[in-house]
Amino acid sequence: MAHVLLIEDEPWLGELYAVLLAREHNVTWCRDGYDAIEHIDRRRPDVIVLDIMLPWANGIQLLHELASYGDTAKTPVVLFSAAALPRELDDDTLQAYGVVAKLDKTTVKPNKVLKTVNGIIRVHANDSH
Amino acid sequence: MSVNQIESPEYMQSLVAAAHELKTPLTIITHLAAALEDEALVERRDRQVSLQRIQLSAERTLRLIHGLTTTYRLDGNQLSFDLQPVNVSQICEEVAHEMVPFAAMQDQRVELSLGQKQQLVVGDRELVHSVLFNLLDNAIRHTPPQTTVNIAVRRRTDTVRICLHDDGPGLRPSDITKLQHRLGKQIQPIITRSSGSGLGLYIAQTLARAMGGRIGVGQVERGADFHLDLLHSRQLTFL
Repeated sequence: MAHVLLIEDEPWLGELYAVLLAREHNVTWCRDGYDAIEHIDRRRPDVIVLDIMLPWANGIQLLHELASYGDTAKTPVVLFSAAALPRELDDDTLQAYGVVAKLDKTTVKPNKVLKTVNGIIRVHANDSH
Repeated sequence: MSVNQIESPEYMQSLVAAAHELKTPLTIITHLAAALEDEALVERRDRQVSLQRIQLSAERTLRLIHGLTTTYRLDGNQLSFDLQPVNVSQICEEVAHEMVPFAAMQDQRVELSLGQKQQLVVGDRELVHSVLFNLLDNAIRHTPPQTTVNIAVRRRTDTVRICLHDDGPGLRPSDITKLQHRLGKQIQPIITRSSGSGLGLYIAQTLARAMGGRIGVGQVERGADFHLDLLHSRQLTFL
């Protein structure tokens, strides 16, 4: 089973997606950026589902932090946010941070989140064979 | 509100920040409702919980909108209210009662330490209720599960202080300084704040000021402390 790190501070959304993703993957749910960094230090996930608006260290700071890790920067990231991204975070920059998908939290359906994560895991499993 | 104010960058910034803050409960509603639609996604036993969360999120959205429209009406001098003696201890009980289901849904508790004597303040009943609702909502949303928010009412010399103290991880000194500096100013632009735009605190401070009161924030030994100071009323009232 793949290991998915879900970083979402809103408890009711976090619980919903932790339960849904856990049907097919090992899921760790962190509610803030510091917890997430601690967790990544201990165990590198296969996919990160990342909210942008987080307490303590927000999602953008987390992307910067991950980029400084070297090998962790290759972990695919799904941005899952209702926040508008700053202009400097264009697609090229996001790609350099490992962002492979952007899901608009205000419009996306739960099934789409699952499908996106599953698709990324399939692609990366094929790449590693 | 004048045309110049509406066209100002600060006003637009506040509008965007407020819209973003309202997105949170609406996003919860849409995701939970979409998951409920798909029977394969949500277990039968979880359906009732999801429905309760949808209802609580909808109520929260409406309260935020109501608070926001009240502050803008105050800004534009379109809202008249009478300052009179109001029983703030009773309002604390009402707000705590309303928020208990929201807290329980997040495995949190709300406690009251009201003392023997009912405290009277100078204020508008509806505005005091709205201020305390926003402060309690803020405390619950920014405190992790298995924590308690305590509401205490204390008489000071000329004022009554209503303290909301939680036993969560508290605030960093830099956050307290920022909050103290920012309380009552424009709502923050969305990307510079880590979580939420502070809409609830903005509403609370604006309404408190309209009644001659103020909101304060501080650190206690364990957890965070937000308080509302209102003038003590020595008059009798119909409770």
